[in-house]
Amino acid sequence: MSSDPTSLAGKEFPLRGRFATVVVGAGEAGITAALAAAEAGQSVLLVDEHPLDPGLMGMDIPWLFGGRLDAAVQNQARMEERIVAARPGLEAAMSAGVEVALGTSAWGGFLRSASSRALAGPMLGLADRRSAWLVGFERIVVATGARDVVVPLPGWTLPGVMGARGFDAALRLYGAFAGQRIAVLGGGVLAAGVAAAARAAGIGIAAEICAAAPLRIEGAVEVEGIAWQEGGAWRQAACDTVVMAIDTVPNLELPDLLGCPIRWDPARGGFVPEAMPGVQVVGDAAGTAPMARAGWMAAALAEPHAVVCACEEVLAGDLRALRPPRYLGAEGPEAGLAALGPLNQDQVKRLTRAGMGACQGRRCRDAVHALVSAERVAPHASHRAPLRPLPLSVLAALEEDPALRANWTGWFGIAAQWLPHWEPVPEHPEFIGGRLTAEDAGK
Amino acid sequence: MIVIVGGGVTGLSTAFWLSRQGHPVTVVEKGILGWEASGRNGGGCTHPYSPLFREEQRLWPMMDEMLGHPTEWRPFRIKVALDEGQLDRLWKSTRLATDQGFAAEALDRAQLRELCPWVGPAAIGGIFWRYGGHANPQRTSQAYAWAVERQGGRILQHTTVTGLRLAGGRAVAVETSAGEIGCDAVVLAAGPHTAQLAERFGHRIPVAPARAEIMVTEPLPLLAHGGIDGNGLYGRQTLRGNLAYGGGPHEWLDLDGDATPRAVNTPVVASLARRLAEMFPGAAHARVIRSWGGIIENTPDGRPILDRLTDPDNVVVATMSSVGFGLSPASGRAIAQLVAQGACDFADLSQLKAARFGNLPLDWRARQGWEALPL
Repeated sequence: MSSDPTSLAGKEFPLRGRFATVVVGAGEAGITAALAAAEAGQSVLLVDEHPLDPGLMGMDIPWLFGGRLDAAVQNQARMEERIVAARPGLEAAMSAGVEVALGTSAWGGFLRSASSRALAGPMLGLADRRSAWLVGFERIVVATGARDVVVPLPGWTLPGVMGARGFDAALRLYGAFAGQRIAVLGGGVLAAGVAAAARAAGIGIAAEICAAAPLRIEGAVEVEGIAWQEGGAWRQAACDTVVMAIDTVPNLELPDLLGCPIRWDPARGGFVPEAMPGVQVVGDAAGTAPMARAGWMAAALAEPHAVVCACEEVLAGDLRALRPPRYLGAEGPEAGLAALGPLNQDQVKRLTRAGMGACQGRRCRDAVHALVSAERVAPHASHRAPLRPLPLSVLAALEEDPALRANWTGWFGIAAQWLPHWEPVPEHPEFIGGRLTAEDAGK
Repeated sequence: MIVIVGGGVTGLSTAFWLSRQGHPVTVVEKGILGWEASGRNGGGCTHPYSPLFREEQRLWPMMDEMLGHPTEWRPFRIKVALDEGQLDRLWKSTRLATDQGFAAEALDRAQLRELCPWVGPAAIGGIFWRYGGHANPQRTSQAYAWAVERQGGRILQHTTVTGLRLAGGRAVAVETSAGEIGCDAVVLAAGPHTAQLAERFGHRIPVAPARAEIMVTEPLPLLAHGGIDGNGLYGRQTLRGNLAYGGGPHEWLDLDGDATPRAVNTPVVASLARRLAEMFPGAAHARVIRSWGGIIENTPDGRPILDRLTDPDNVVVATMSSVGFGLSPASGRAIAQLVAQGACDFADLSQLKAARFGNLPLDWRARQGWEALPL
């Protein structure tokens, strides 16, 4: 049997360490899992993306920060101290022998599967602000918590509109909340928690709006206030920040990438991941409080001008019309969304670009899902690597097998594929189409 | 009724041309239209080694109007070389087109940097192809489908073809998960599944499935000509401004019964980023926001099979051997002619018959090193 030198077979992915257990996310659930594994005598790596690259914060990743963190977040060393102080369990984990990597994001999870047989074993892609690397693992514990749900209310794209998780991180994790006076949206425990934390920190509360109502966030270049309807009359309040504490959802991007089954379970927040061999999901990433956003979403999405996808400027009306992006200046099919048959969010994404932007769909994924699920619950939109938008230069720093580079080819390296197809294929004793030479393959 | 098995770009284009001429067509797709490699490739429309090249070049400028929906097609390609070897090889492939009367010009580093500010001092020069182009794969696949429906054709998604019913040397019905569809002719354009389906009526169409990967960055300011690539990568700047590039190692796979294997990514994505940053150091700050995979099929010699069989004599087999998107306007028209008139009148398809693999050893995949690794 011959081998195909340009295929992935036989190529290696150099690892920077191997661990019995890696834990992604150093919140309470992650620290508990890491400690338990270390106490059982395992080699454990615990990674957490905080302190975040301020560039990611500016893109509302992983939470809706709304530009309301002050310049303190630029000081990485100080932020690292704050995070250790805010999470006392980290010190205990380190003492127990857990290797802790802060400021390290998990951008890819790669398992051997029927579609990726050439991989030697499970790998996790990690990155800091300078470079990317891989570690090997036997078992992974995903403790990536929950993500803010954005309801596309009028004015939500103004700086100063935050999510509950973003607000909590700004206030308690980073100590860098830049606002003075907030309005809180949402009627559940989440909103009550935001209000209580704000009061404890001496932050003014301009309004607490518990139920979905006609509402607009006001401001010229950033949030200046909020107006909402109550008992038939419009009320107004001045504030510099609006905290959308309507709902959160399990942050299941890594389990999805790893191939865990994903199930729709509104009692646990919406889409939830299931465990699979070698992959455990703990804490909020496995399920959050029952879904509380439906009424808010329905009201917001009824407005055709609602900005659903801010990165790609896709309005609710554009989605319903299945309108191509504005730069094409074209209309969608006459039937709109109905032209597609059973709706799939990934397909709608590719046609309208909703969810295709630099925030990787974090801010619109739940709203688009609600919109395309009017008749039946659409399947969840896929997550793809890199799970954080990493600069080319950071990914480019990943160590590469010299054999992969030496045998690189643009497309399969079959010599006859690139010769005129109106002429017969030259005879080759072994490879029917002939192999490109290593030199020729490089084109 | 002409039944087209496979709602990829080749089958959809075939249905477009047939329904345009008034033939009744039904496209049967096991999943979502254009969902596999058809909707997620590099978008290139430049294939000078194909007998369909001239027709490809003639048709693309007309496709938006004919289809009634934008394909995002844009003309021209720019090739970048980082060393003399790359430049020599670029000229070799350029001559395939210039020998057919198409024009190309050498670019020095300064001219290259004027066309693309991200190229660095490592670029020694390039070539401007006054031919070829690029388009949006998903939008194009969907545009064919909507045009088919507008022309009276029928499209069935989420419907799996299980076999053909033959009688008197002809296919008389296509058997599907939703029942039988009576037919006068069949086009088998099922990508990696073509071999499996052909085997069920006794024909050997040798193709091997493989997985390939692409990555894409956040949008950058628009270049005047987005079809720029090199350094072992194929790809383009999309009309939105994203840099979408693929290349590098593929992986040979097996089908998962009637299902197409999952198109997962591997750390090869980082190698794509590395080569893009080498070619465009001025864009190395751009953030990679997504990657994806695609499952394609190759014949043993990497060339298409476009062939009307003799028994059953009303079945056309069509696989483009991993290079189907860009050629689709022309391949669909050629296949439509094979169906309707038995031969293609605008291109020489004589070398693309299935019979060339008549003596193919049974273990051809193993001999070529194209077998899926054991799981």
